[in-house]
Amino acid sequence: MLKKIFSHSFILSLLIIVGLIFFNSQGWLKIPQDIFFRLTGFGQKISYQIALKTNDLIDFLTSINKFNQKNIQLTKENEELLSQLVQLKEMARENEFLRQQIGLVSGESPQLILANVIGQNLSPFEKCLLINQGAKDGVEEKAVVIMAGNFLIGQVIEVGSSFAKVQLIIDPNSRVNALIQESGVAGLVKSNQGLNLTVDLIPQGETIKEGQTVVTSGLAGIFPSGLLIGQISQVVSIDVQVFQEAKIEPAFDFKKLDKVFVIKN
Amino acid sequence: MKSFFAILILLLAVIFQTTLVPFLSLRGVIPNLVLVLILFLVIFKSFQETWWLIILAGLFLDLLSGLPLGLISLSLLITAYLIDRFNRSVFSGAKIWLVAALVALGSLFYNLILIGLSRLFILINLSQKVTYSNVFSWDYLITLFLIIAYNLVALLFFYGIKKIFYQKQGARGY
Repeated sequence: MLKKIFSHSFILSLLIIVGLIFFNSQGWLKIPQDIFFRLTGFGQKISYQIALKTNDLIDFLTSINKFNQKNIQLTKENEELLSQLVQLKEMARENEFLRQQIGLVSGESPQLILANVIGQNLSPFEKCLLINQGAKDGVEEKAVVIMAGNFLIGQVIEVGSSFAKVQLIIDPNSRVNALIQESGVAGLVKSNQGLNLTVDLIPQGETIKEGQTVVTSGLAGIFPSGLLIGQISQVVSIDVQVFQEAKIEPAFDFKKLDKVFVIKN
Repeated sequence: MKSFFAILILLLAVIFQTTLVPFLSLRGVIPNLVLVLILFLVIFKSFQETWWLIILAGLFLDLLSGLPLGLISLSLLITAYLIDRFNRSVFSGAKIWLVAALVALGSLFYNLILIGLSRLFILINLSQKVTYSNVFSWDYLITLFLIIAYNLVALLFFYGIKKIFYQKQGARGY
């Protein structure tokens, strides 16, 4: 009877998978997983780079006719940002001077680990990245991942010896405590079924506007404060509801990630 | 030798799934090359001949995804088995429209089984991740429709390769 059960291919397959789930829960699959990533990592990196470059080329070709308009828009933005930069540099200088006056030591810059993206999972059920740095490079679980310019990307959810998986902030399970920079209003950034980002739990009385910047608040101590998430693109406010929410335009395209930084814990 | 090539093709499909295919995203939906390939094999061969490939495919995908290990493997295995049963008992023959119907059905089963199993994994403490919070919503229905449509496009690609490959074999007199 047992022989008959085990010779049935479906039951045998089920038993094998259940066995693997058990081994994984005991941590016995770490080494085979590392070996798998070492064997496939190079091929993945090459394939991902080819896909990235091809995507860039297609984007370039399909947007040629919009270059002039984009150029004018970017030049204007550049001028505004330059003016803001000058003001911010002056404020930073004053801040440092005042810190010295009252004997306050300025915080150390966090240590960053540069990593290449070698793969993505962008299905409706999960949004995560694979990077080519792991435990031997100093990456730890729950480490925050950013892009150059302090843009928040996500958090490390699994670490191997030479790879890591990063859950993006657009993942349906991601939750980020956030702040609307201009008004100081706090909220919670989450992904709407993996389709777009929204900032929720904003009290009805608070005024929020399109174009305002959303950054991490640092509450709960998971994500450092001040990391850029995006800008508000639409406010959804219904009087009968306790909270209002707003849709966020992310600061960058998550499909085009190439190099990221892991903040060392 | 055939098994080696089968594993190689599977590995390539898995690598493309995580590198090239994400750039084809439409409203957050991408085609599932590995699912379509497995269903294709199950329809034209049988579950009996391909069960070990299904386990490998699921394992490769599980290793590269952020979902709990075993979730994708189990979903793929159950889906492949159900489609094999459907193919043998309800449908028969290998006409393209029948294959398309089976792949569409397989895509539907796979996604529903994945959501169901993810809830089970949470219940038995193997995971904290919820794969889809509201199954009974327009958003999910549209997503499901797009998944099936996209997988059918992938099927045309594999079917085309099969036709070319078997035509060449026919021309050589095999």
